[in-house]
Amino acid sequence: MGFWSSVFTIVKKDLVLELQGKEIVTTNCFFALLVLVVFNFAFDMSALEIKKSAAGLLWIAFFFAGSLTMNQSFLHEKENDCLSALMLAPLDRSSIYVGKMIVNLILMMLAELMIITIFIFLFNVNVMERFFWQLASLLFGTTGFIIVGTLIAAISVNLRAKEILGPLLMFPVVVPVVIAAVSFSDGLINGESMEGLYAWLKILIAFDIIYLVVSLLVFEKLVEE
Amino acid sequence: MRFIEKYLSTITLVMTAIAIILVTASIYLIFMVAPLEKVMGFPQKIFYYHVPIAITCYLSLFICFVASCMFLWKGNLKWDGVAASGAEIGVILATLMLISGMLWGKPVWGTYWTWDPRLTTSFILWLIFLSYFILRSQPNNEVLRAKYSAVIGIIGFVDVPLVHWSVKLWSRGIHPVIDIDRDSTGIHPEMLTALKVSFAAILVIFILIFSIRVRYSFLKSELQNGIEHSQVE
Amino acid sequence: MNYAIAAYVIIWAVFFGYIVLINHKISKLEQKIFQSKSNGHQCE
Repeated sequence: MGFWSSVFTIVKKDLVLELQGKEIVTTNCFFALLVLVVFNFAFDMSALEIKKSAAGLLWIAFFFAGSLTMNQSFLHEKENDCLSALMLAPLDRSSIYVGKMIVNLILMMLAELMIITIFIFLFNVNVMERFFWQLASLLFGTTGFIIVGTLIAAISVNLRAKEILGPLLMFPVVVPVVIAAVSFSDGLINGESMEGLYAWLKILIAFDIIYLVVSLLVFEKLVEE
Repeated sequence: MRFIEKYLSTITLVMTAIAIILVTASIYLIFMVAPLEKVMGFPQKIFYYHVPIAITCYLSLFICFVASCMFLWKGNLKWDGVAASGAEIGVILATLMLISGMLWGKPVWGTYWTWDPRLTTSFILWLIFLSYFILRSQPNNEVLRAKYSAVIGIIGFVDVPLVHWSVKLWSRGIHPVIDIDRDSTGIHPEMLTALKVSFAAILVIFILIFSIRVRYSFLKSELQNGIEHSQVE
Repeated sequence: MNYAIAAYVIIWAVFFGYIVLINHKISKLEQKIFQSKSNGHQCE
């Protein structure tokens, strides 16, 4: 089987599993709602303030939802020892990583779109005014988060304290993504010119590329017996 | 390797003697010889240890990174011992760097902490390698633990330039940048001597601590192997 | 003035304490290894 066809098979398998259970999508959706309600009480939400802190609030919600998604991604495989079966299958090891990453990306982008929709309705701030640039910030920011998160999920699934250790290992490493994505979105929402904002996009893309290469190199060594 | 093991105690003794001499010399140079800095005054004396500790900290974490790569490549558990030693000493040095930096910041800037790029980068680095130790404390299979911590060691160290780049864009710093090569007139020659001697002292102490720590992890794995062997027999 | 002194005291205390701690751990381990080796010989 070629690399991309095995990636496609894994993505299809996980998405079918998700469609049957809808566990991650429902938890993410409800969780997003809860986070936004908590924000409403935690911060003073007068209209001017919201516009200034909208990007930060949104990305915090994304990262929390994302760490939930990440924890789930290898849990299915752990039950009944499916991961060993996957390793025995005649696949390129790194295609398992790429497949899991794409599934996580799809699920997290879905969650983000839900969070943004709820946010716009609840707080009456149009954060998607510059739609395509904002979409780019979501895409590259989330990708960076997912690349590291999927690798760490493959580690933390084998540990005793898996629920807590995943986020604990992940958050310090994704700090550049947090900074760059929040600043980029913030600039877009508050109408800064693109010239100053390109630097953030550059950081996000550099992070994505570097960590994709490192993860692909490392993942094979990580899962081999 | 055999030679080193045979004379390890002698080497350690000699290194300790050199370290004591260098530390005494650096104390003398820092407090007696080097002149007071005009703007910052006495607290500036922290600088002579703060800078070498910062550089040695990055060196130690770099050793951890290289050893992690070597472990994933070769699969020899000795590399894991080296990586763990590098990370542990790196974290200790990073803690000292942060503490000495804060004690410098309070009298000079009026605050213990600011979110300056260099401070923030060190802080994030410190967090990453703390999580490395939380991961290591999870007792499972030794090979798995070595693999997992090697991954964190690698992705943690690769993060340093990215963190520094993004944090630098995010805030404009007040941390002094002392460029000795370009700006050699700015620093007093006696200050430079004190800095050099302190640097040598810290480096010797680092080599001493590192060799002891590596010996400790080798002994530990030897003991574990011995127990496994006796169980097999 | 006190800040610089405090910093140096902390730095040296940590270095010294760490060396003592690791040496203590090493001597403990060596004892254990010695014991396990002598036990092995007795079994043979």
